[in-house]
Order: sequence, then C-alpha cells, then structure tokens
Amino acid sequence: MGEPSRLGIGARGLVLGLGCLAVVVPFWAVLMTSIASPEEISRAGGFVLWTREPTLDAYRAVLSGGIVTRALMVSTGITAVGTALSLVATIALAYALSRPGSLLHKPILLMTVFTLLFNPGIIPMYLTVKQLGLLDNYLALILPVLLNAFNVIVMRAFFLEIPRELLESAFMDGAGEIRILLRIVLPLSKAVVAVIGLFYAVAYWNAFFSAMLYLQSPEKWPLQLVLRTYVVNDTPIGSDQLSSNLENLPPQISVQMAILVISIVPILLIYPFIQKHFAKGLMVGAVKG
Amino acid sequence: MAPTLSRRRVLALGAAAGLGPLLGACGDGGSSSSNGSTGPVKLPTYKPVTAATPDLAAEPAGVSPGYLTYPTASGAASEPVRGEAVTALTYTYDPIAPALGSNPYWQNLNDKLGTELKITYTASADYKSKVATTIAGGDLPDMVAIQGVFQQMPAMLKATFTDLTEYLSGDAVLAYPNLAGLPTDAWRSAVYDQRIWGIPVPRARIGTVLYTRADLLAKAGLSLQPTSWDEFKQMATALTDERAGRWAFGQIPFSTILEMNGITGNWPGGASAWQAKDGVFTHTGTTPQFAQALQDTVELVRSGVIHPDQAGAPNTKRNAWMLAGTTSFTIGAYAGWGKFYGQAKNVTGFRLTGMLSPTRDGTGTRVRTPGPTLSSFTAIAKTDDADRIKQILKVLNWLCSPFGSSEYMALRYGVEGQTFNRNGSDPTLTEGGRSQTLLPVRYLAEASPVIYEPGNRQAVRDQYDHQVAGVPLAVPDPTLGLYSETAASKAASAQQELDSVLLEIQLGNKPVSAWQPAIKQFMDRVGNKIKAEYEEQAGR
Repeated sequence: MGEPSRLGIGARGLVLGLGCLAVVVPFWAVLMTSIASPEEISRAGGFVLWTREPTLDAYRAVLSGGIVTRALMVSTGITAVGTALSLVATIALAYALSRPGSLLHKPILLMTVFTLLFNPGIIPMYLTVKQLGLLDNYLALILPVLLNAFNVIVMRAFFLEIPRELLESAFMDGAGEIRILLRIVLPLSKAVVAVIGLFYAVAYWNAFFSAMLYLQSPEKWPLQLVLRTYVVNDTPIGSDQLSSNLENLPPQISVQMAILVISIVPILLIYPFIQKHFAKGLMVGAVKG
Repeated sequence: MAPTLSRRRVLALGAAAGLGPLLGACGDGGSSSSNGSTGPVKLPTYKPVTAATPDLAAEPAGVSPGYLTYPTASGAASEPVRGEAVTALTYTYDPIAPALGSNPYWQNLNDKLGTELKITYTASADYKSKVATTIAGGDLPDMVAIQGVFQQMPAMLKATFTDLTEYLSGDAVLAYPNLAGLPTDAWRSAVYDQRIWGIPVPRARIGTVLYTRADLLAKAGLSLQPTSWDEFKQMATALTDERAGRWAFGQIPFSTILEMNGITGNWPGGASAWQAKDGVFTHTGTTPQFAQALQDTVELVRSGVIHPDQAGAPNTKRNAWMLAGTTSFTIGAYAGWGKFYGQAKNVTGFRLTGMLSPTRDGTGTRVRTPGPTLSSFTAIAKTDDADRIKQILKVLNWLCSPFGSSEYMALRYGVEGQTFNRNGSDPTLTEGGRSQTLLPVRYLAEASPVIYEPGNRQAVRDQYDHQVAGVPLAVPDPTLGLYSETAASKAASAQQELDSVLLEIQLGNKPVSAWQPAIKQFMDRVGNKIKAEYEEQAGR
C-alpha cells in the first residue's frame, strides 16, 4: 500500500470537501439570515445565503433591554461553577470507586448504577428541591444534577486502566490516597477530565427546564430559557394565540437566527482552547504497550 | 417546613402529575358525581361597559367594536385598589420583560393600580408543567392563570382554589363593573361542577381565519368571497402557477372544506368536533359530511394548488410565504391578525382580509367554527379571607378596564413621553416601551377585545367586516361549560392516532375509505364514553 495516487488524493479531497460544506453551509445560512434585511428574507421565502443589505436589526431587537446580556452572564456563571463542582465530585467518587476495598465500595457502586435505570419525574424532583429550601436559588440548577452516573462510570473505567503498580509504588513511598489522586492519577487523566468536563459544561449551558421550574423571577433566567421565549412562538393552528405584543418586530426567522448565533458564540469562543485535550482523549487506549 | 400530605394535597398532587387513572379508580366517575350544588349556576350578569364610543358599533352580538383612531378623551380613572402586594403566576407568548427595577412601565402600573403586582411567568409552551409543580409544591401565589384543561379538573379546582360563585354570580358581579362587561360565554368556560372558579381572559368569537392576500386576488381579478365549492377550486387554480413558484395555499385548508360541508371543527386536535341535537351528542367525524369533506380535500390536494413543502412547515414559514406572495392564503388564529401588518411593512399594496367558507353549492346557510371563548381563566388560591378575595377581585377588575380609559392607557402603553408618544391621536410605543410592555398582565385579565390598528383604518374595516359577516354564522360549541374526564385524561393518544390517519388520507397515502375504521376505533376507545359524559352533564 504505497503512496496514494493523484486520483486517490483528489477523490478523498472531494469527499472531505463535500462533508465540510455540508456542515459549514447551514452555519453560514444561519449567520447570513440573521443579518439579512426583511425584504431579502421575504424574497427568498426563508433562508438567505448571501445578503446584499446587511442589517443588525434582529440583534438589536434581541439585545435591547439588557435581558439577554444579563442572561448570558447568568448562564456563564452557572456553567463555570457547575462544571467545577461537578468535576470535583465526579473525580472524587470515581476515584474512590476505582480503588478496591474502599469503604462501602459495592453498595455505593450499586446505588450509582441504579440511578441510571429511571428518572423520578418532575413533581418528586420539585418537592425535593423545595424541601431543601433551594427554590429560587441558583444552586437548584446545580446540586440536583451535580453527579451524572454515566460520567462517573466512564471516569471510573478510565481510572481502573491506570496501572496498579504506579499507585502501589507511590503508596509504598508513603503517599496518602489524596496525594496519589492529585499528583499521579489526575495528571495522567487530563484527557478524560476534559471530556467529562465538556459533557457537564454543555449540559449546564443547555439546561432550561429546571430553570423554568425552580427560578421564580425571569431576571434570574439563564440564556437558553430567555431565548426560548423568542423561538417558541410556533403555536399550532387552532391554538388561540398567534399575537405578539411586539409591533414592527423584524421577521421572525431573522430573530430566531440571531438567537442561534448568540447562543453558539460563547461555546465557539472557548472550544479552541480546550480542543487539544479532546484530540488526546480520542486517542487514549488506542495503542497498547 | 415539610408539606403535610393530607388527602387534599394528594389529590391535587396526583391530578397535577397526571395520575388520573389511579385516582379515577379511587373516586370512580368523580367528574359527573354531584357535589351537592343546587342545579346549574347563575352566570354573572352581563353589563357592557365602554369608555369611548366606537366608530364601528359592536353589532350584531359578539362582534368586537372597531376604532379607527385612538379615542382622545380618557374617562376619569377609577379608584386605586389599596392593599398588600398581590402575587400572580401566568404564561406569556412573548419574550420576557425587564425586571421591576428597570421597568418604568411596571412601576407606573403599580402606582396607578395602588397595589404592587408581583408577576411570575413562563413561556406558554412550558406553562402546564409550571402550574403542575406549583400546585404540587403547595406554595401558590394569590392568582394563577389556568390554561387548558387538567385531569380531574373539578376535584383539582375544589382542592386548590377559591370558589368565587358567591362573589360573582348573578348581580353580585355588579360590584366589579369591568368584570360585568366580560362576555357571558367566556364565563361559561370558567365554570366546573356548576361553580365559578375564575375570571376569564376573553377572546373574539371568530376562530381560525383563512387569511387572504386581498391585493393578490384583486390583481388576478378574483372575488374576495367565492360562493361555491366550484368557484373556490377555480380561484385556487387561478392563483397557482407552479413554474413561477406560486401556489394558492401554504397548508391544507381542511377546516375551510369542513365548513363548506356544514361541519365545524379544528383538525388536527379534534377541537369543536361535537354537535348536539335534542340532547344527543354526535362526533362530527362519524357524519357522512365528514367523509365528503375528506374526498374534497383529496381532490384539492391532487389539483396541485398547495405548496409542495407544506407538510411539516412551521407557522412562521407559512406566514413568510404569504407575506412574500409565494402563497395567497394562510390559516391562523384571529388573534394574530394585527401581527401581520407589522411584518408586512415592506410589502407594497399589502391588504389582508378574511375569507369565509362558502356552502358547497352556493345555497343554504354557511357555518363557521367559533373560536375559544377565552384564552385562560385566572383563579384565586384557596383562602378564607373574604377581604383579601375582594381586594384581588378589585385588582382584576382594574385590569379589565375598557379600551379608551386611562387605566387601559397605563396597561397597554404606559407613561406618555417615556414609554409611548402620541402620533396624532394614536399612541406609539418607544423602543423601551415595546420591551417593557411585554409584561404579561393581559394574560391575567383584560377587557373584551376591540378592533384597533394604529394608523391603518383599512385594516380595522377589514377585520370588522369579517367579524360582522362571520360571527353570526358561528355554530355554538355544545361542549362549552361541560367537562368530560375521559376527554381530559384518556383521549390524547386516541386523538393522536386519529390525527395521523387524517393526515395520511389528506396527503394521499391512504384511501378515504381508511377513515371509517379509524373513527370507529376512536369512538370505541374513548369517543362513546365522552359522548355519554357530555350527554349526562347536558341533561342535568
């Protein structure tokens, strides 16, 4: 299997190029539609691929009143704090469960796996949160979902892969469990911590339902919930409300696209910085020995 | 403080969580069992209240009054309601408004009202879960907007909210003059088990409208009101030009075709699908006219007058088609009429009218499906404090101030110079005003709808003409004011199956003959039980 021929390279390039287009074009359409003028959208009957008369009206409509900016800050805060707390808890639990002989090892592992089976439903969750006094508190968005059983199991599986000899030799040298965790296990687990951290971050960033249930005042709402009120105007025919208090609103489609762009931007900004960890994470376990 | 799990709380909890069947077992047939009331409730007396004489009178009965310009004289403001702050939970169809601290409109409203309004709200799509959890949690605000029907509704209302019958029935409502101006049919929908449970948020009597691009029809030389099925089909064909990318319709106009065959109903969903005669209820899906309407629909779809992308297109897309002229019609709720003008600012010559369904052969009386009488009703959390109830009712009364009053100005527009400016006599919201007035006070209580489009007299006339022509043709829904437990709890999945068969037939994937077994299955599963429940309630 020597060097691929020119034709082979060309064919591969073509397929990859088409694949990239299939991903990039929708993003491009979203961006263009968000800055297109109302006439162009009416003419195109929907999405616009190139705008000759760009306008920032849709963004102005969405960002006026400072509500969206405030919600953006709330979301960022919840995601940052939530991810940090979740990672600490998950690493601790996964590590403890990966060390054989730790106290109540089997029962705790069983309980963790058991929670994967079903969901209690919104009313029991709501009553629990209420009884803990967390209503109208940002912690209600973090504590009930602090530990994800699936993530714990993935991380535990990774910790189990770390050679026992490493840990035992450190133990023999007098290191305690915490020191082993911090000095040996974690530096080796950067990839999986990054991946699990991303899972948690995305979950916190996207969460809107729990915010809707537990937070009483709209000024505490995270970004997704606020933006939802713009987008979910698609009431079915026969339902009695198509009216909106807003007169002279830019066409719905451009407002929805502006919202999409606003909600994607923060993730797009952060991703390049943590991307290298994912590349490593993907390769983990690929080559043995 | 742990919530005590009294039997009352379990009932409310279970109802809210949708454990209807479980509770249905313990209190079998609870909905139709008597609660000891003495016969049908006396609805509040109707005494219309106007603050300004309309340019287009509210006649015949049920038609909204029309105002070509905003009335300049605002009547004297009613007394502010003094008392402790009032909390409320409601829904919204709009983006959220700024918080009280940065909302001069809200501050002004509290000032004029005399009582502080603390409103919590969520998007209407999530509202049902929010109400369910709030009721289950037990910590209710003073007022809760009840939208739609819940399972075990009469039991849930009795356990959680105050029975308002003694405060509002008959002439008692005259103590709250604006509430007395709410239409009687709207009150009917707030009655369960012969007791009044809340203040309705009324809606116009027109249901869904076949919105028509009158300018496009005029350009094609077509009449705005076809008089027969044949003329309707010809009109649709004349408006379709596939090569030029134009079609008549952006969705299948099934409700229009049903009305053409003399049947009311909103499908999918099967709302208003029951007819009653001499106490016998019939589901319109079982009638031969329905099958005929299906035939007509298939014929219309086959003639190619409907946009090829119509299946699954969201409402915003269909509206965009109509605004762009790609289609000449769109079907939507009446409440959305005004919204189109804002979005059609850049369309030259734009004129919107509503088309009524002709009769099949041009003879006989046309029919219209009436719209829902209310959007929701606002219930008051259960309390024994009569003074508090009276204060809350006075607040709701204030919120129902009629069009043209100074309270209405404060409610819809806010503060002159700050949240709105006068354009001649018409108030126009400023940019800040537009986002601040999004506060969903109007979904707690508001006056009966009026027709008013700032700066657009033609729009007012078109809407008024449509109402005058359409409202008298509305066939009243016999299930108004009746409650069927089966319909609220068990019918959803059966209805979904029925809807999917309907869609398949309309799209041509299944023959029209597939309807009979489908409707029979629906009736066997839930339809006959619902029929029996309605007949029992109607007979009382």
